[in-house]
Amino acid sequence: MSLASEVGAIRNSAGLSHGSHIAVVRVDGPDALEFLQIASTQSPYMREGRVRHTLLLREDGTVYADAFIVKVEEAFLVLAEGPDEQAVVAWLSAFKADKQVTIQGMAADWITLGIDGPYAWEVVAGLLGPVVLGLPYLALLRREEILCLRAGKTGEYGYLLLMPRAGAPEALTKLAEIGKSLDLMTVTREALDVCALENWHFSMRSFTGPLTPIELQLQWRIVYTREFFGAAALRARRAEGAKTRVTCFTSTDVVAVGQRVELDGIDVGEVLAVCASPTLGLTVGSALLERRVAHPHLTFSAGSMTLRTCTASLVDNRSLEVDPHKHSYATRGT
Amino acid sequence: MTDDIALYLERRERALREVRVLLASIINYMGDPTDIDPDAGLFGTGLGLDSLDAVEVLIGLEIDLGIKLEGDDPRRLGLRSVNGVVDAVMRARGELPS
Repeated sequence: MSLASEVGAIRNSAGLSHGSHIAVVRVDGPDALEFLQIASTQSPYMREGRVRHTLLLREDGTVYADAFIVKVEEAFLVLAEGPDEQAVVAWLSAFKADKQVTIQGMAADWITLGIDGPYAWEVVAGLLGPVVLGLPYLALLRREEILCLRAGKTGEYGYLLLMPRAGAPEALTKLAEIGKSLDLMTVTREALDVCALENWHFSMRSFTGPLTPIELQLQWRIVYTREFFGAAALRARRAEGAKTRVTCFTSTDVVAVGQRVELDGIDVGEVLAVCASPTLGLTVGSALLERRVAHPHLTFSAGSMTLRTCTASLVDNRSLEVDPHKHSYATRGT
Repeated sequence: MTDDIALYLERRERALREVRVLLASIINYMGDPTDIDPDAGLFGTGLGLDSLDAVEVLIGLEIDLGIKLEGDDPRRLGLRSVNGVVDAVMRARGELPS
């Protein structure tokens, strides 16, 4: 399958991905909540069934991992993108000190699947039942041994399914059967990354480099009055005034990561991430620009290429038009 | 930088300030409104506005900024991010480049 057809499936029907790029770590014990208060930029204090989208920062305030924290009974699951499971376990263990917590990677016994697309809910409802249709964004559903998080990063309906490895073959067979009438396609991590960039969702794989949530426009995941690892450096960065900001752009040219960006012949930044967008038929990317010019609707040059900054999101997602309580893939367009 | 670009950036910053203050009041944001990032999403991931907040955005634009948008679904009006709202304000004022 081509990358374009995979992106097309995510944009028009549904894509099934294997979440081996997501580290799943269980944090358990009497001090689990207090422990994660320090490790995470967002407070993990929440009732069961909720999911928090947060960040794990380094001491200098730069982003180490993009994470969801989920409360399951008395324990927490950390689903992190960026570092692998072993690295996340080691990173979290560094905060352990005398706290009574156990930190355990789950990949040996559990697998993670992703279902993304305007009709992803129809696929997941086929597996777990119609209760999926009412599942809010950033919420958790438990069905027997399967955990289902509604938490996509493509701009379409998105679900993560965590299940024991022993039960995975049966679930995959059932998903394949359900997916036949829904044009469910297996998609790669690259397709998910293209969709994330098209929709201006943060991806650890696209936004590399020592950047803080201030430059990355992720301050909605920060509460500056909380104490967490990296908070002091972040507050200092904020106080001195950030000089740059990541901004999205499109281009009809082929642009490369690392290219310098100029405005009226003056160097104002560099290209950070780029992809060919099958949805838009354009190059889509992000550039780290001087803050004074980091705004949409400006035309920049990168070598002989031209970039036009844009207002996110770039895609009119079909999911905005699809209501799980009214529509179905079979009756789409009617 | 040309005068046109300088003027656009000045107007953009002004509209962004106004929109940040409006959104901060709607979501009861306790921090500094300048911490609200221009490309932060309004719904779901991002500022986490719900459907009632969405109506408040439209009402706030009309009452606070004197800008009336036709329609009642902010997402369908392109108001999916802070910058989407800024665009709507600048478009209504005739300040958005073609």
